[in-house]
Amino acid sequence: MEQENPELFENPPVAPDQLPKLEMEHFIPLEREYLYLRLSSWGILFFLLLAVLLVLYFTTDLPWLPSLAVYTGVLALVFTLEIVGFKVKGYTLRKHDITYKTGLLFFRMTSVPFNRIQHCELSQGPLGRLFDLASVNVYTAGGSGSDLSISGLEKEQAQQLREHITKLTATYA
Amino acid sequence: MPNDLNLHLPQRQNPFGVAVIFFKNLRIALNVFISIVFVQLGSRLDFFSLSLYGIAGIIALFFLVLSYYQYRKFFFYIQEEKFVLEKGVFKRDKMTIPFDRIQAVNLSQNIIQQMLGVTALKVDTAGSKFKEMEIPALDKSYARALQKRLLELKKESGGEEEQEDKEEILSELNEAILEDQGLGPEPLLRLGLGDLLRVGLTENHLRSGLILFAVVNGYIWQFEEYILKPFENYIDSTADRILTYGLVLVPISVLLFFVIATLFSLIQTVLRFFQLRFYANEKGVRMTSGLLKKAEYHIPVNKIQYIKWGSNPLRKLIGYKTITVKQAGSEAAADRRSLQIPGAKEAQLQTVLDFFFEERKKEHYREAQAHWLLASQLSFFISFLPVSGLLIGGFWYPIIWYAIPVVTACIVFFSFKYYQSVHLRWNKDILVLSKGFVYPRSYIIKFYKVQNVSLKQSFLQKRRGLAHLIFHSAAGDLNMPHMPYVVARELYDYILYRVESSDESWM
Repeated sequence: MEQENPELFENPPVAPDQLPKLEMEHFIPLEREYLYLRLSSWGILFFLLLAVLLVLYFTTDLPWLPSLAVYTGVLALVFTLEIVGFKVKGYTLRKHDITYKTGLLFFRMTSVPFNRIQHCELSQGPLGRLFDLASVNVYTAGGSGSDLSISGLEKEQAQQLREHITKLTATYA
Repeated sequence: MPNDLNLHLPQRQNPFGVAVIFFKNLRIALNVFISIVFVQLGSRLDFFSLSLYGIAGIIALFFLVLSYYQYRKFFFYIQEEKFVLEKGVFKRDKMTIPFDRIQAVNLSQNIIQQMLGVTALKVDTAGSKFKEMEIPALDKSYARALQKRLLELKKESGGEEEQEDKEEILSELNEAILEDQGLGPEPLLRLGLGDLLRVGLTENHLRSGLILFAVVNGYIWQFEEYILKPFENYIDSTADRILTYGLVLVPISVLLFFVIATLFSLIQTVLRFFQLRFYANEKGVRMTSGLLKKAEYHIPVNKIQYIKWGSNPLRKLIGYKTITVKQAGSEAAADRRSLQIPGAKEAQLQTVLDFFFEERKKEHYREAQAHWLLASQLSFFISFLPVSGLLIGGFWYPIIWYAIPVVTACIVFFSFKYYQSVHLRWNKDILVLSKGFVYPRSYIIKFYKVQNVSLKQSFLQKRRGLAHLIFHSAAGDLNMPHMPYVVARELYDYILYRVESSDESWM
């Protein structure tokens, strides 16, 4: 305990400007294919939506011009946000932690120190298999909202990352 | 005290265990039996021409015999570094737990156990995939001895870094044993009957009323058809009249709701916090309380994730605060793993904080306040639904439109007060977050107890250079809204530095 053995644990004061800073330039962007993956999954959704609209058009007296306008409007908005927002997504690996950032309109950045990681796993969806992409999920004891998921990594790269994290985590356990 | 626990041979419980198991069975049976009663009332079924009492008698007798055999077949013992529990009459159930997986050993007494002078012992496991491991009836001194033995065995099996932790649990336990013999230390806080009444009367009645309503509703409507059947004729003809009398009935039912809710929170408080004794020292916190079920909990100091204290408008008047000591746990088990002490005075709060957060006395605090964007966003989101409802309702009765400015003014006032209350201060080692106007609450956490950090920024915040900062701890998230982005980034980096450079165990 800290107060019992002050000589065992050194804790020199650190000036705020000497603290290690998380630099925004050091983030690694995700694979380009991940953008295509996201666009195709949206594409599938919009395709299904179009089918529903067509069925509604033939069975009810849906006004087709306004519906089509709304449909294209939403589609254009989603695709624009995805393409522009893709630049924001990225991760960075430091000696002691891993950070992921995402979100154009609603930015979110989470950092997980390696000495707080509970476990780490690799996951790959059906579309991911198609594009040869995988995600690395990092779990801490901080509840479900705090877990970190880095998507859009090449499968091999994801495996390396997972092994790297697992190895580092083991040194703290 | 029996120090010769011969645990290598299978042991039985105290013979009173028959009674304890019987009443436990009876409670399960009663749930089944109630539905039979309703079916009986509803349709006059005949079970081999037996009366209701006859059926009840047979069921009771059956359970008495069952309980006896359940008692006879219930064993616990130690085998190869494991604690084993065997039970079950028809289907044998064998539960095994290695010593190093034992998380905690707790004693508790429900009213039957209190009357019979026996104690239940419960073993919590790490990663609780097992069913709970409970021995329902042991002599009090035997239970203490067994509790101590299990914790000692756990200690011997564990690694070095956990030793300190276990020392603390064991010394807490010794304290509890002294207390059983009436020699214990003076508790930091004890609630008398008067305190209990005051705590009960100042509960959040709206909340307890709604809980009661939900529970009763859920329970009663299982038997909907049987309850409503006798009244069916009346219900149809009175439906119209009820509408006419609605103006009278609504205030009466609101009044009734609050009377019942108050009574309910009073009963709940007495049941839960009867004879509350709260002990705190450098090693951790311990609490015993309860009327029907007397329970004992302790949290060793390094398992404490953060401490929360809060109040409500009624309690503020009499100077009462509720302290909550938060322990690591999944969201589902969050309630069971945190320790709540109602009716604490300011001085007692300060004593508790001094024990566990010495660091707060250090100087050089930095502070951050929420931006007024919080007030305007809150006002907008909260007033959106009610105002649009009033707006639409006004097309039928234009008088409703006059309510809009009143409602809006109220919402704006409370949002503004809430925004003013949000406050974050931190020094080298700890962080204190305060928020709430009607329900003021504060959280105190040491930096190394943080698991990870998040920073959020919406496009509205970006223009004004603001951000949310979220501290994820093993006992839940703490959230600081709308603080200056530059300060948030600085604190973000500092927390990461503190967490990564600390080798203190967070649990």
